[in-house]
Amino acid sequence: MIQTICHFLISVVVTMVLIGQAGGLMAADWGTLSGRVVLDGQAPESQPIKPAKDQFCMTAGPPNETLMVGEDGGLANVVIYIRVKRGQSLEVHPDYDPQLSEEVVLDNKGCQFVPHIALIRTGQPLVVRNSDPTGHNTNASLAKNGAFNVLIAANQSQKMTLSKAESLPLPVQCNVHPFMKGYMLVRDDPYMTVTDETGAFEISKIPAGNHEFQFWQERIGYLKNCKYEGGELNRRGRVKLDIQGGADLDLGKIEVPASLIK
Amino acid sequence: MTKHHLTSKSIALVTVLLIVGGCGPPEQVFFQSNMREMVSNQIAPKYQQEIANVNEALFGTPDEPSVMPEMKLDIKQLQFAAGPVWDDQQGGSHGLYRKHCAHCHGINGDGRGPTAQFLNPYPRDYRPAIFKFKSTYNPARPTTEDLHRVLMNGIPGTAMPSFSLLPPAEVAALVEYVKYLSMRGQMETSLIGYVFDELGEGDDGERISLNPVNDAEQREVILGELLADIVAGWEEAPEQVIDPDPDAIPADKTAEQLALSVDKGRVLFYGTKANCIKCHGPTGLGDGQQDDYNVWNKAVVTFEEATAALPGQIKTTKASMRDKDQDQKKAIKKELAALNQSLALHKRVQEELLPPRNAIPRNLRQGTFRGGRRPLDIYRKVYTGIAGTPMPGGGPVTPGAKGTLSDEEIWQLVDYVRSLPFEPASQPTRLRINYDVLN
Repeated sequence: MIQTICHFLISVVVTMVLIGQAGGLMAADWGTLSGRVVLDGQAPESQPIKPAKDQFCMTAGPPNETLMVGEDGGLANVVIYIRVKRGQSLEVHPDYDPQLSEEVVLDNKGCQFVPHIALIRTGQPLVVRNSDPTGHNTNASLAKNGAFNVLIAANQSQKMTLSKAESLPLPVQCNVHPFMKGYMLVRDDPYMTVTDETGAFEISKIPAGNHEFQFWQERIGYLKNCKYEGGELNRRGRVKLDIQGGADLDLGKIEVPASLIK
Repeated sequence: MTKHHLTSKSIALVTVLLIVGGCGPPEQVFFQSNMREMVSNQIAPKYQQEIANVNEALFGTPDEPSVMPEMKLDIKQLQFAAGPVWDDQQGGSHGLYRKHCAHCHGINGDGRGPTAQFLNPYPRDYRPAIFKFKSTYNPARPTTEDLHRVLMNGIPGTAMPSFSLLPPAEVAALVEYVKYLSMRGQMETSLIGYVFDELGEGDDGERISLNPVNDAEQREVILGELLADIVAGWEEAPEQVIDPDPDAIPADKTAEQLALSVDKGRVLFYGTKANCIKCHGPTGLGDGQQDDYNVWNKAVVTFEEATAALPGQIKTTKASMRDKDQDQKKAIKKELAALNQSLALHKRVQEELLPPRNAIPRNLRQGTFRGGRRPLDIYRKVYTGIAGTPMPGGGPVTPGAKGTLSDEEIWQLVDYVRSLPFEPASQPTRLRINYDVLN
């Protein structure tokens, strides 16, 4: 009898502790970062891509995606991610768990890489596909994972996984069509994003605490010393921010001077 | 008279050179920093020096190499290959690298020796540790045997000769030294990345110096991570060798079987699956896509583009000064000064780089295969591509995965490629020489 009561009490305590932890997981400990990256000044004229030699690509007429500026200056394709100190890792919200088995597709479509910037978690399946009737190759200049350069025949694909995080988005190229350029960012955690065509971005379910966020764009590199209301990125385009549990930290407009564009 | 004058002048000059150069104490030789990497990563001069110091502590100098046990390099062999050229009393050679390699590949192994600018292709820059002619998967390091094979055979169609007449111990020492220069170059780039990414100004605005002697954390990163990664890459190379399935290797084909395989290979070559024609051209002469670069030349192109963009950045920065208040103007002026300084640096470094050249796909009708003409050599090229170049691989990215081309298809391509130099179109027409016209 006494034993049973004891067992009961223990299980109650254990359950309470578990509930307490789960409750903590649910709302209070995860926050969101959002904002909008805008270009301040006149963007240099974008050079159109002229695919020569390949009739299919000439007809497809892929756009130059190296610098995409929206009507009101919104800067697309800016990559934002959390920098983790060497040897440390971030706690990941369980909602992101299914992501690990979801395929990231890097498509060769209309003689451009879709998406232009692929975000991949280590261990996540990466499918390099060619949806074009013409042959492509995908040459990824990865650093920690080792570069790969594979032939992808028309309407075929190759599946792989990458095991190491990279510290920067790295270029992806097609050598058959050297005008095709894309990027790939490989991280251990899901806390990375790319700004949309209005320059807006959001990273959600970030573990509460102080994190260093990195801002990068392919024609600029690190968004050096860019200002937003109430703060500034440092000379490496990084900023340390306090993410509060259950709250959305909106940085507002992050202004990028046009002089940073290379 | 003038001639005589000149001669006495040159005798005087030679005498002066002998006194200065020949008879004085030997000048010490140091490794030069990879300024292209330093400048493109905006490494400040103080950090440049610190990076050079750390790398020298790890690898020594061209005269006195040093290694750590974890590098798994043979110091005896390195000492044999390093240093100035001299012969001992038994007639043994010393300073092998400078004797045989440095005039093309440079003291640093940067492929920028004095002869380099006259060669096409340029000599290899060992520092990124990317080698084209090897037996391993595309991203992997070469094996010791791969480097050895290149030294023994030379590289047909290039200025790289065979060193097979050297005593085996000398060839082995040179292979070890090439690995050493590679690791050293990799370490330099890793240190540049480490400084760029993680050092600089701390939260308090103080500069964090690169000083692993006093900083245990830095020491752990440099030895435990950066160096360990580099060494592991070299150590793992033998596991990364591409060995074709022995059952799939077509041995002793009959003439009919070979002809059939060549035909299938031809279809693949010109089709959209293997797509060889896109670069090697509809004629196989290498006259397809010629606008691309290999990684070594691409690095120079990228650097030149950055240099070319700077004046525009300076102009827009200047223009942004209008209608700004005093404080903002001050900040912009500081930025301008930095940009101008960067431009000057870029220009200075660029002067020393070799003008970039496009990667021209191989003319397959000549029968000259730089990576070796054995079926196995060509198989590996088609399977995994050629590291550092636009040539992609048709096989799987990693062992065990499924590639675009099957093993059988790769062998068919090998047969076709090997048959190309013997096609009638590859053979020059033999014209009868009209000696009357010549005389």
